[in-house]
Amino acid sequence: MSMGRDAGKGVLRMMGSLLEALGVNDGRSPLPLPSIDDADGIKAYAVEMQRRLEHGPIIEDDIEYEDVSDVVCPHDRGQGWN
Amino acid sequence: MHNTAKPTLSRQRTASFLRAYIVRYLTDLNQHMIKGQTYDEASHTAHNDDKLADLVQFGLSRPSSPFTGLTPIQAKLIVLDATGRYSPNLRRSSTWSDNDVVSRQTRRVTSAMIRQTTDLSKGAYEREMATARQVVAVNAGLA
Repeated sequence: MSMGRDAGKGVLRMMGSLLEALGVNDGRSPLPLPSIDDADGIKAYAVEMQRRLEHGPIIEDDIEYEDVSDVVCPHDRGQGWN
Repeated sequence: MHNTAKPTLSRQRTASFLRAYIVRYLTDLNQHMIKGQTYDEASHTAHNDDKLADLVQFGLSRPSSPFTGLTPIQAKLIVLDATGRYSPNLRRSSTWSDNDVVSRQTRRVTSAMIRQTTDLSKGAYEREMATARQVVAVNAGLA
């Protein structure tokens, strides 16, 4: 059995869309999806997505942040930063 | 022995698993295609229908995937939840703002997934999400 070519195109489109929806682009321009028959294009797409993944937003899992809600910056005191 | 543990999986960790899985999927696909395989062969999938019942579930269900074993609705719910832009109480609202740098294709895909989950009651949503998180946690070796 094999998956039909049209269905394959659909899966590829969906995968690219899910990466975008999951924030891999992080504000960068969306990449055009490669053709289903274009191995080089798929490679370039995967490499760029991997690069964006590695340089993307920090996953905030299990990170505790210092509570800075009561810190008053100079600007708020009317002094400015300079 | 029946495992009664209820593993939990955070939204952020699910998103991390999903991003890594999809990039690996694309990389593997390319590596097989440059060996001369067709997409059908390289995708390591088997299906006998051009009209797949559910692209999301199908795409996430490769062997060794942490998302294998999810039902179609569970696959959509866990993806939507992982985007961090989805609230079960706001399922009919827009997922993206005009300021988001997101392609029209992605807007269409997420909107379609939301439409396909709107029939769930609140209780059903919570049950499906709990089951989905448990499936992924077990697959990922967290439970």
